[in-house]
Amino acid sequence: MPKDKLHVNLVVIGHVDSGKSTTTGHLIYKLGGIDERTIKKFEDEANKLGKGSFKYAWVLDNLKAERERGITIDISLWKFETNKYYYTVIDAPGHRDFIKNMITGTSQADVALLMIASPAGEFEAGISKEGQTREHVLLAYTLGVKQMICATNKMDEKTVNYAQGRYDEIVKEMRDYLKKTTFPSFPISGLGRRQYVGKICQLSDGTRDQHLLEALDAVTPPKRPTEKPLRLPLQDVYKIGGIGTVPVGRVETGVLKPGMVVQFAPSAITTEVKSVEMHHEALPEAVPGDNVGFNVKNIAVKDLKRGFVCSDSKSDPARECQSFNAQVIIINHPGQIQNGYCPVLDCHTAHIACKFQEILSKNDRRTGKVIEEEPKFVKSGDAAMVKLIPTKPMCVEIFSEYPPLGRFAVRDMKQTVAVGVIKVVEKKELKKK
Amino acid sequence: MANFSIDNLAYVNEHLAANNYLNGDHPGADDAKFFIALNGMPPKKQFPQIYFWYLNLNLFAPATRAQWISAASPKKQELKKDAHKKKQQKQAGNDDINHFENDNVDAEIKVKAEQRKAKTLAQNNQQKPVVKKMVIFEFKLFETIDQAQLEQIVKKIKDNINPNGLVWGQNVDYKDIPFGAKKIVMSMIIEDDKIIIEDIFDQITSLEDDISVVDIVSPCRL
Repeated sequence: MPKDKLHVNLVVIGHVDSGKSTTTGHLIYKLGGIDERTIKKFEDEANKLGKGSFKYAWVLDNLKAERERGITIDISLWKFETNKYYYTVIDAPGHRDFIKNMITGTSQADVALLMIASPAGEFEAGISKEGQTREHVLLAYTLGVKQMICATNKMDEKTVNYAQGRYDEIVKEMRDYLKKTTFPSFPISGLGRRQYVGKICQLSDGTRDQHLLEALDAVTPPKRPTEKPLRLPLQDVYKIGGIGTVPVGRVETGVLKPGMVVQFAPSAITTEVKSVEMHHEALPEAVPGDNVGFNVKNIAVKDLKRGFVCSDSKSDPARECQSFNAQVIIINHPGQIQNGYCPVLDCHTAHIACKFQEILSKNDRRTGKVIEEEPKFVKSGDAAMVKLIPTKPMCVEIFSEYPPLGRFAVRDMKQTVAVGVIKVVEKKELKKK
Repeated sequence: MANFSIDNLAYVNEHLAANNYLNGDHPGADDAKFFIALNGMPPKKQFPQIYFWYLNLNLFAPATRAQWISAASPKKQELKKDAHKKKQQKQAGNDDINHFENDNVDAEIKVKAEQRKAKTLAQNNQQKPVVKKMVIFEFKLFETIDQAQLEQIVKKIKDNINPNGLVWGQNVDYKDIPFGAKKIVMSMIIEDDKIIIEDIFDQITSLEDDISVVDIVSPCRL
């Protein structure tokens, strides 16, 4: 395996039963992920009994059964490899914890794969107001997923039977819809349920439409923002015998080097970085995406904690915020949200209660156009511009400048009730000593 | 599809030669019923297809098979589910090594509450299939780098936290993080309706002072 392949995070979205899991299963099965010996074992069994043609379904069902019982779990299971990229699959939309994980976790998605079921009724149900397609697309867009691939699935269904007409109809409809959410491009491939995704669907017209694997190879590589000022939210802080205080976290933007004088927000402590390590090796510099630990001088463990942000003291150092304005989309709240609502926000690694100081306006979810100024309340399905004030010192950034530090999940009753992106930050002035 | 009976094994054998399951591409009520009706391994030589199918079905947990039936006949499912739960509870009672007695009582109350919840849930939407997720997560320990100690903690977690609807993954990974520290990567298989991931994480962090935060690596649908 060549080392120069880039890592891309792929989120699979779409309506229930559009074939999300089956397709990911196929991709992982064929292109990596599953231990070869395990596959061989099941394939041999299948062939022995003349079930070669059902091989994929057979192997996948067996694997699923084993997984349900906690066997054959490989941590690298959800990865596969194309000619150009290593893909990590994020496949669990709809789950209570999925959105939070997508926002704060290690798995910010670079590319979305939208599955569309082609049979009559299924496609329509998926893109109806109640369907999940719209919701997923909007969320992906809000959270900064810039590229999307559409796959029309189940083209082998009897009622569809690879009909060119049906395919064109879906393509046209999706194009109209996606244009409104300004996704620039969306290659489409038809997949049959029985066949492995590698087969090119007969009705691809060859010019605009691509085969799924080609589409996965054709994505624009995600940019790793090394030129930006350093931002590194801390996940944990350790005290290690003989070494001292070691904060651990992932570099989101910029680079971290030994010898650098760093500043931590919100506490505004500065110190020098003695050394940087990843896994077990010292690094000359850490770049975005690297999960590193670094050793700092003269700081006690208790002076730092999860949720703090490390930055370069000489280049736009991170600071504590007084308040911030964010566009919030309420996705799952049972009641009404009014001024004064104080839920917990998960933003990068911080987990802090913030008050909805003022709901400034209610907006159209897609265009952002103001529908109502200073609404009395907002509820599920609404988008609003809100001024928030953290109850404890907190460091956040504007989404357009530092995306990973500018998006958050709103948590209440152990559920993600809303998501938001930060538009304006009012920072606290540093006290002069 | 009433044709699948144990009196007609030859027909079933033939059917299975062309289909993955009695119900087609995916296992269903007929499969589960037939599996029960067989009550044991079919002869391999005489009915190879059934034998093969039997091995495959045997991989699924009894509860999973019961769910297939549930889609067709909701009433039966409940009985079965309950029976299964009782069994599970008994097992849990025997296997548990109790580090904290209080925890256990709490857990029992919880299990009961969950059962009630599950029951009403089942009554409300009997058609809804059980959604299972595999969640891979990781956590770190302050100042602990001793392998035996790490394994002890994993054991403690697996022994103490066992709500209904959760299965721990067998494999546990101990990964190096900078400066010689280690993190533990574990997995669990959960039923979506019964388990709130955060609850489990809360229980893990309250089990050990040294664990500050648990992070999800990836939640995936099974």
